[in-house]
Amino acid sequence: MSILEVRDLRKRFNLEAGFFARFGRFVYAVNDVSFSIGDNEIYGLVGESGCGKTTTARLLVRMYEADSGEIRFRGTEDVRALKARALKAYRERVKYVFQDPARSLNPRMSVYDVLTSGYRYSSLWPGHRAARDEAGTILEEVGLSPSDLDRRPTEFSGGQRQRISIARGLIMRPEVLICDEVVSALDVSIQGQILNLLLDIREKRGLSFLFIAHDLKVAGYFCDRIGVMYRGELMEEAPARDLFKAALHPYTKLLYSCVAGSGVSGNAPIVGEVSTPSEKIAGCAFAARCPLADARCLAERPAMRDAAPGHRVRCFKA
Amino acid sequence: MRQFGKYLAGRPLGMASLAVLAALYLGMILAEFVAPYSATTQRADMTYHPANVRFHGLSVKAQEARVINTVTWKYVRVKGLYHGVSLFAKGEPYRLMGLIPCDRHLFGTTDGAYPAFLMGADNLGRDIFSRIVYGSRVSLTIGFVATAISLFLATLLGGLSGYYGGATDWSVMRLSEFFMLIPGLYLILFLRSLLSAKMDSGQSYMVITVILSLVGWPGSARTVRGMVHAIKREEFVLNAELEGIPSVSIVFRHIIPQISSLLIVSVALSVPGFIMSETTLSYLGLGIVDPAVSWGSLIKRDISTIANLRNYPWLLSPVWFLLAVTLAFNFLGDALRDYYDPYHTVIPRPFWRFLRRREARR
Amino acid sequence: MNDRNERPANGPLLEVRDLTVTFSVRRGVAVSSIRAVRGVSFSLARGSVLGIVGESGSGKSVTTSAIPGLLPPYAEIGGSISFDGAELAGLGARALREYRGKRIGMIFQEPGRSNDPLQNIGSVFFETFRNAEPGITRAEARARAIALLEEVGLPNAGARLGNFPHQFSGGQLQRVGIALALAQGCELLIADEPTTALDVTIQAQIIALLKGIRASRGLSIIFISHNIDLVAEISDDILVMYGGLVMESGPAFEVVSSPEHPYSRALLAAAPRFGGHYTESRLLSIPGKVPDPEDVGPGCPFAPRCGEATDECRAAIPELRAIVTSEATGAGVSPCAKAGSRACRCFRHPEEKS
Repeated sequence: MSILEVRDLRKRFNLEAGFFARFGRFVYAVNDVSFSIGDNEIYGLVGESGCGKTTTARLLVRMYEADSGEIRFRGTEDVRALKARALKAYRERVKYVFQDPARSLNPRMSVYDVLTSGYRYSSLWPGHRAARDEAGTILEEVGLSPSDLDRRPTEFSGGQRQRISIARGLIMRPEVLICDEVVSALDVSIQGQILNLLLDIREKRGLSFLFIAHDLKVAGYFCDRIGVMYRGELMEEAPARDLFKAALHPYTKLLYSCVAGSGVSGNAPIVGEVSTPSEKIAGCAFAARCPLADARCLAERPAMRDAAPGHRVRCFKA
Repeated sequence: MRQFGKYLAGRPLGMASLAVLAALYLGMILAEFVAPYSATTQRADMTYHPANVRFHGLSVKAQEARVINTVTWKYVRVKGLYHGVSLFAKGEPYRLMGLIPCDRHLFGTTDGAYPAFLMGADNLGRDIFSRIVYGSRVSLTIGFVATAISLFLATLLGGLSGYYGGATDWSVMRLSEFFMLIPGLYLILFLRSLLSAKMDSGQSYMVITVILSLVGWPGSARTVRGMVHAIKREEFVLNAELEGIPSVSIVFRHIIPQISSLLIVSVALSVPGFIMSETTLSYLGLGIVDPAVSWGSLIKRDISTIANLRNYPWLLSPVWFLLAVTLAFNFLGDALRDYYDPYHTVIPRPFWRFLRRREARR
Repeated sequence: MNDRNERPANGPLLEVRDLTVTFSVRRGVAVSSIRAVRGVSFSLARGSVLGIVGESGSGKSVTTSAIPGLLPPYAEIGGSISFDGAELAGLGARALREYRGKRIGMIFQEPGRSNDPLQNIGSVFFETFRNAEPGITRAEARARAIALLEEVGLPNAGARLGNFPHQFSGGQLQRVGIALALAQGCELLIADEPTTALDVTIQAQIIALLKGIRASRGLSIIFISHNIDLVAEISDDILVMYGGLVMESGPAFEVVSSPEHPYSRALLAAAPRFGGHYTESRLLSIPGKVPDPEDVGPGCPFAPRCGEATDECRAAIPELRAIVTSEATGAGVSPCAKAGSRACRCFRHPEEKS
């Protein structure tokens, strides 16, 4: 049973603001993205910058409002339609962890305040004394100590701050954790610590993850299933190991060949770069750079189809 | 706080400013003790008496003087007629800080027979130094009170308008622009003239404070609004919104503390501005009125005519105090601003180092 | 040691010996010393690529910023930097300008921030050319700029000369940066994490470009990154830095395939590899955190996190010793990374073989 189901999500941003908004230039950040996260599963969204993975993640917690589509949590009503109190309850069960711990923790608050400032207003608030004990326990769970409760985030290193950020996400006992590139800003030797910590937490609490990453190797190690996004669209989705061995979409193959140390040599020379998706493209989003593209790819947008059990791909050529 | 103290140790100007301000504020609190005489004691026969405390041999004495010309009030010093000046001399009784009855003053003539004018006397024979000390009560505090009110308004309105945007922002900004459009001095005069000409000193103090704050808040409000608007997009604010924290709490418990350093520096730099504004008002006769004293009222228009200034230059003594306070606050504000500036931790190398080229060690 | 007047054409292009960099920073009244680099030695042959790998605080960026003299005035530099026979450490600003920008070029991590947003690219090129040849005409500068931009793979170069930095993407700006470095006849290009902020497909393009330029122009490159696989792909030799010191050095392929130093091993083991999955095996993580250059301990900088550290490791810093391989280069090889030789700074590795 899937814990989070996303269907045909769409979001466009208006580049102009205020008076000029009516002459809008838009960025089509997310285009008909559909996927589902199973219970206790780690689902990864990978892609390069501007592909819409962070926007998608933020749409799930309604940091932005989607233009259309459905988000269903445990099969209940559409998250997009939730009103204030129900939305708050939903946000207690689905938590978002930011990428940069230097910017996502308020530098002027003590760690205790950082952990509990939102908890205080939630429906689960047990009072100050109990909350202090809980905060201490959670810090131990993420590898710090309760004596750190009164220190400031600036006294900690990057990896430790990310632990505090994760602890803040866990204190309300959520069911889903959305990790937005949580290890990208960390040193290589610390990445492993945080990934292992997340795995331990997941085992202990039975969480499900949506893991956003741009590093294919990290995603390939950590996730159960991976979705590859390009220019706002989901191009391919497969179990992590299958994706490495049997990638079908040309873009996925390109990504793998470009990553250093992949052992996969580059085939055709890569041309061009991703441009901001500011026009509605008629055909496949990748057609402009794809070595296999033909007239049909440029004119018609491929639908997502099942290539193998659990393996979906959006391509005419795959 | 302690860290700032350590920082100041490396900035002599800032340290000196802090010392000066501490001395002035301490003197203000213990005004009855520091001032040898009360601010209102008049001496009919000592109009425009010059300062008479001087060294005689090795000790400090007050010399008597007599008037020789009652038109120009010129005095000559009487040779040989001295009165000893001592510390902790007996003087008029008073209540220290309103509670403890006492009659010792910081200094005075030992026998009390002749006044010791540290800075001379004014046209009614009142000791100017004492009046300055008592006047500091108004001048030094009015700056803080006005700053407090103005900063409170600026933070409240700027914070809300920066965070909410939209109609709130629009209306607050138009309001602030209205206050900014009118030249400050004229606004002050206008508001002051709306009220009755004769008010007692307490009322006039409050009225002036309120007027000054109304003129001062728009500038800070716009700055606060800009900063709040920028900080609003930071990730920790986004996270706070996701956690369901009420917006007002986000603005005042999460965002405003980020600019606390800016606000502290702003306080240090605007207090002298308000002191000077009060001085201007009182100089024009629209501020503190007799018998209450402030430094501005001490340099009233009718005192500072050219003839008076030529004959009795000590009447401008309050100006030195005003200068000292303004400079001290400005230097302190500079030190505070540099202390909070994260890029300011570089050590300036001693000059002589530049003269020697760095040699590569082998 | 090389004499100032001698310009050995066959010697190494760059030779750094015992480089130390210390920053004096005032905190309140106290002055603290940040020892960013604590004794780094290496040499770079002409036309070769040296890769420097390290995490934050390892001193890799400070080391390479010291070469063209780009450190702030409160940095104290010790040791020797010898470029083509000339001693660069301690040179005055005017003398350094003959090297910086002209013979030594540098590209940085954030290309968007390395450019003046108010100046279009054509004008930057013109200024750069005029720096070397004051009499150059606009037409000739333009022609040369277009040639350079085409060499670095920027299409439609003529029209783009009028564009401003914000009209380029990150990858394109990095190409422009490379072109500017080449504009003054650069012999040594220092690339400080040039692709870290770029997407992986663009990263591959830039790496291919650097390889191409190295082949066509005989350019020498120093490539810095925290990604050891990326560095290994482009470099001939690698330096692994940690805590301001070189921990291991040697040919790239050898260091990556058979690392000696515990830190290099841990680094390679801690990075996830394709084909590995958490259900099969957990990632090896290195406990602890990277050292703070302000607070250096007496022993080996990696000792607090090393699984094999002994008291000897914690008490003193090991020397960088040459590892004698089967193709030993003979006695008298100095223990710094001469091209082709391996060295390791550890008491425990390589194990003493009698």
